[in-house]
Parts: sequence; C-alpha cells; structure tokens
Amino acid sequence: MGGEAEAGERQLGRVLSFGIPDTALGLVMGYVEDPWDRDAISLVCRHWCRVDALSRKHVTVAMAYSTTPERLFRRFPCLESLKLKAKPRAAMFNLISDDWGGSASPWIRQLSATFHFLKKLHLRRMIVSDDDISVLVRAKAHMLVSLKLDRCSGFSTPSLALVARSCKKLETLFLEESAIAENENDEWIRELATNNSVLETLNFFLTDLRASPEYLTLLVRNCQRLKTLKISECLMRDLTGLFLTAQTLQEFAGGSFEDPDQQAVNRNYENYYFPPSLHRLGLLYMGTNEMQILFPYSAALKKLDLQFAFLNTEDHCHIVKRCPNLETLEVRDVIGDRGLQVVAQTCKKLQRLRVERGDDEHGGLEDEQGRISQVGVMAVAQGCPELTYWAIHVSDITNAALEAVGTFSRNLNDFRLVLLDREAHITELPLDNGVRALLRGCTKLRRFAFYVRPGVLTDVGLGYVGEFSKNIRYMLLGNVGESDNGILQLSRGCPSLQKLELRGCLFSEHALAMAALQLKSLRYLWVQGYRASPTGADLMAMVRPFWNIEFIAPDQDGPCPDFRKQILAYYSLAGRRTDCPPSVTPLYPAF
Amino acid sequence: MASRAPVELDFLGLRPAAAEEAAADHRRGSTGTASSIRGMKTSAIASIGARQLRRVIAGGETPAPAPMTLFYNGAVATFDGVSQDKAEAIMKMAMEVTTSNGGRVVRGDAFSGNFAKDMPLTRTKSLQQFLQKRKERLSATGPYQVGPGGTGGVAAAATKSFRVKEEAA
Repeated sequence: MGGEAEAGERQLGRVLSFGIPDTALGLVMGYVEDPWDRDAISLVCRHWCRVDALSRKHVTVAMAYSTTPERLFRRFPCLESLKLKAKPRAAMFNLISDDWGGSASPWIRQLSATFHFLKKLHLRRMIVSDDDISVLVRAKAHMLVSLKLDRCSGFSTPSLALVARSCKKLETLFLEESAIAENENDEWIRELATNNSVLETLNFFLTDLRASPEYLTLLVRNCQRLKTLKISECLMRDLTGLFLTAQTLQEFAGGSFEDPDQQAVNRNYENYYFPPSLHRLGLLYMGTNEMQILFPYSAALKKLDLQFAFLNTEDHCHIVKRCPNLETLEVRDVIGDRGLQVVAQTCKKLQRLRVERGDDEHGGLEDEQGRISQVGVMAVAQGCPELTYWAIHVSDITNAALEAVGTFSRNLNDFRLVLLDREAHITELPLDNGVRALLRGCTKLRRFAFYVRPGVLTDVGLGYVGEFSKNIRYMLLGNVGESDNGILQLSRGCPSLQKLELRGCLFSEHALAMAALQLKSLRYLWVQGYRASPTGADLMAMVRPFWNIEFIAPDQDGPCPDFRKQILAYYSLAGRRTDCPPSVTPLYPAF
Repeated sequence: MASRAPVELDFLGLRPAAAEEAAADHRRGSTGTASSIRGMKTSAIASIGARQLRRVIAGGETPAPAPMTLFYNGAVATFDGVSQDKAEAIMKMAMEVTTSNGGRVVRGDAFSGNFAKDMPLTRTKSLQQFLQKRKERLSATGPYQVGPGGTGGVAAAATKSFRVKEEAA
C-alpha cells in the first residue's frame, strides 16, 4: 500500500470518525458486543473495519472452511476468544461419514504461532488429535482460560492429563459429547484436581470416560470455585461425599442410578444431600423409586434434565408439579400431553423447553400416554409465555396449536418442531395457515425448524414461510413442499436467511440452484434428498464467485443410497477444500 | 386377468416393506406386478367411507374373485370375492371423490415419489445409546420373565419379597 493512498484513507477515516481518535473509537466499539452489530460497524469504511478488527474480542467462524487461519489472524490479530465449527449439523445425527473432514490441525498450528492474546478456544464438531492438543498446550498453556472440545473426536485422555498439568489458569474445560479414547483410566481428573485450583466448569457429560468418585471428590475439594460439574456417569450412592464437599456447586449432571434389581439393598434416596447452591440437575437412569431424590430441592430447581431418566408419564407429572421455578426443562416425549399440561400450570418462568424423541419403535415399551399432540403444545404456549427456546417432537399437531404458539409465545427466538411417524393419520392437513400464524406472531424468531411429512406444508405454505420469516437466520425444513414452486416461493422471501438445511424434500437440482441464488443472505446450504438431473449439471446454475459447492456421495450400504446423497454449499474466501475424502467431490471451484 | 393372489392395498403406508417394493416397481416402471391397481394413487381410497366400500363389494357376483384387504383409518377389513372389475370400480370411485374435493391428493404413501421413507429421522448417538440401555433394562426386569423351568420369574419375585420381609423384621 502506497503512502499516499494510506494518507488519503486516514483522511477519509478521520472525516468519518468526526475527529474522534482511534483509541476512543476502539473504546466505544468495545461496548458493542453483539456480533451482528460489530459486523455492521465493520462495513462503514475501511478505517472502521480496522478499528473494529483490532478491538474485537471474540469471533465465531460458523464454517471453518469459509476462511483460512492466516486470513483470520490478518484481520483479527488481537483476538482473545475463538469459536470454530466444521462438520455439518447432520454429523450429530450420524449422517456424515467420519472421514468428512474438519481437522483442527491447520487452525491450531496458526494459533500456536500467532494469536498472542488468545485465552479461550471453542472447537465444535471438529477432529482434534493428541498432537494438536500438545501443540496448543506448548504455545498457550500459560494463557488458556477456557478450552471447549465440543462434539469433537480424535484425542485421548493423556492429552487431557497434559492440559490439566500445564494449564494452571484453566477455568473451563468442556468436552460434552466428544468421542475420547481412554487410556490410563481417569488419571486426568486427578491431574486436574492436583494442578488446578481455579476451575469453575468441568463438563464431560455424554462421553464414555470413566470417572471415579474418589478423584471427583478430590477435584471438588481442591477447586473451591467449581460451579458446574457435568460428568459421564458415576453412581449417586458413591457421590454423597462429593456433594457434602461441594458447597459452591450450582450445576450437576451425570450422576446415575443402578439397576434396582441388581442392588443388594433397596436404597432410599429420600434424604440425599445436595448443596443449597445446586439449582441445575440432570441425572441418568433415574427411575420411579429414585425420583424422590429431587423432592426436597424441587422448589429451588431452575434447570432439570430428564432426557436420560427411566420415568413414565405419571412420574413426570409428579416431579414437574413441584418445580415452579424451572427455567429450563429437558425431557423425552414420554412426558406426554398430560405432563405438558402440568408444565403449563406450574412452570410459569420457563424459558427453554426441549422435548426429545423417545423410543417409538414397535415394541418400544414407552408409556402409552407418552406422546405429544396439539393438546400439549397449546397448553405450553398458553401457560409459558417466557419461552425463548422450544424444541419439540410431536405425534400429531393442528393449525390451532401452531396459531396458539404464534399468539402466546411471543418471546420465542428459536422454535423447532418435528412431526414423528407414529400416527398414520394427522388430524388436520395441511398446516399452512398454522405456520403462517406462528411466523407472523413470533416476530423475534431467529431459528426455525419444521420437520414434518409430505402434505403438511404445501407450496403455498412455503410461500408463507418465505413471506413471514423476516428475522430468521437459520432454517431446517424436512419433507416440505409439493413441487419446485415451493422452494422458489420461499426463496423470494426469507431476507435474513443465512443457513438453510433441507432434508427429504423433492425439489429439483435446478430449483435448489435458483433458490440459492435468490436468497439474498444465504451463505450456507445443506441438502439431503433432491431430484437429481440426468447429468448432474443443473446444480451448476448456482455457480458464482466464492460459492463452494460440494457433493457428498452416500454410503452405499443401506437402502436407496441414491436418495441419501447430499449437497453442501457455502461462501468461502479460502477457495476449494484441499482435504476432501473420497466421498466428497468439490464441484466448484473446480481447482 | 388377475391371479388368485390376494390383492393387498396399503393406503396408509403401514407396511413399509410392501410400500418400498411398490415404490421400487414404480420407479423401474415395471408392469410385472400382480395387478394393475398398484400403479394408481391408492391413497385416494382413504377418503371413501368404509360403508360405501362394503356396499360396492357386496353388490356384485362376478366369478373368479380374489380376497381384498383394506387398511383404513386404523381398521383392517378383509373382503372375500372381490373381482378385478369390482376393485377397479372402487379405485375409480375413490379418484372421483378425491377430485371432487378440489383435486388434492393427500400424500402419505410411497407412491408419490417422496423420500420420506428413504430418509427416516435419525437420532443422536447419546440418545440412541440411552434408549438401547433402557430396552435392556426393561426386558431384563419384569415379573413374567421366562426363567429356567418357566417359573424363574415367579421364584425371583418370591425371593425378593422374602428379603424385604427380613429387612422389615
């Protein structure tokens, strides 16, 4: 850059900054934390872009292949916190092969050489090797305050021991749902307990790691600031000492219950001690005879996770009616309409509700009452006006229920509905009007998922979705539409839609390409199930600069592999991927 | 002419195997199936009242008939002696009813070429593992578990209550 050009730029910058010096500008910008606002600020002029970049503390790269580590460092050299995501969301549902990609190595190499202010790292759905961790530790151990390896794989417990020994400032170690190879048992927990005294969050929930009560209790004793402890699995009967020691603990998950038939003595959990600060609980395999463990604390509970409990509908009703202060509730659909009615009557402060899919196979043995319909949905909509996040699996639903959501659940920013295949016959089809009412009413909606079956949302319905999704940034649609018109109508609207996932719809390649071109904010598209063109060339209608298009070949085992092929398209400044496995074919750029 | 093979019409897609086979046939464009009925949009039948159907079937006496099984609205009805003509008349009636409703054929079966059955909902690994464990626990317990000699379950229950009595004493 020539000196003259720079001087001219500075001139322009000063004019636009109204004579405010850069330091002051940076300080003012420091108060703006919302990333969307920061994004807007950075677009004002090159000068402001630079000031923003130097003062930005945190960046989330939603798709790791959309940029390179070098580019990121060049723009944000002073970054203190970074979040990276790589594999498509579908990977969490076993739809992406293990070798798809998402290696953290190039990123960690860059981080270790530069990013001198980095304190927090969050990797989600990525492959992290033991080598990667050792490189990271060597470079950043003296600074690392938070390390989150979230739904990652590729590393083992000795790496955790290394982190524990070396990162003395570590306040957060998050490993939830990662696939971690276990060597040396749970020595890493002992290392953590003996080397760290500032830990506030330890989370290895839903991993297969072993955890002994002795080391866990040692950890709790030595880390006096521990607020969140979420473990893989450890019997509650062995954790009584831990809870007596943990006087600052606010959140706990992973304590489990053994098979009542196998235990020598019938254990009584009536007087189990939890510290008074504990308000968030999630217990594994808790059965009808054990749920009494919650009763003395139910009134104080703010978060309850029953997704992994062995309870029936009646049990859910018994528990929930004692929890008027719940803010987060996570259950399976065994809670039933009845349970949701109790939620509606009792949990007036509820902000987050997740109703997962239970065992609905033939001979599934779930409670007969364990299914959700419009009855439960309407009850919750009317009874819990503070809901911001609501994810639910239903067996039946009506327009009126969706309208009720639109009328009463005005605070929703994230709504996800999945219609299960349990009932052959749905009360009311189509649900176009209900969806329209929902979208019109929930004006704060940013994320929306509607996974149904053919006939539920017609092309007209998709038009409504397009028309009334002003603020929605993320959408997952399953089995919607009747013809190409549907997706074309949708793409005429959805002005804010950045990330679109489609599954099981029957749009043609050409329609998908047209839609992608038309959706003005779209930067990420994932599709499984589409009408392929004879030559496969129709998709290329969406070719444009910086738009990476990749074809993911389906796993040839299993029925109808042809239908399960996937398209992944995303904006990228990094050019074509160089690490594609055999199943991934980059269609554009070609080289 | 139709064979003596039973004509089975799965309107609600309750039989995934049959539906898949039918869909496969449909895609391959095969005409080698047992009857000409398969190629039609049989989901239309769902909108006809069951009583109407019975009237149609009871009305004729055409020889060389085949039994017909109908799955409708959660009920299963088997009719003996349905001839090819009768069956086609039923189809025709269904199509008329459907078109009179505004031409909207509600798709819920595999014939429409949708991918719903080929792409079932999948679960996260954690939830899958949990449900598996739950299945194991539930099938292991239960009072009517078949043990050695068929009385194992009862014996176990008896032992249990004995132990409880001991503790209470």
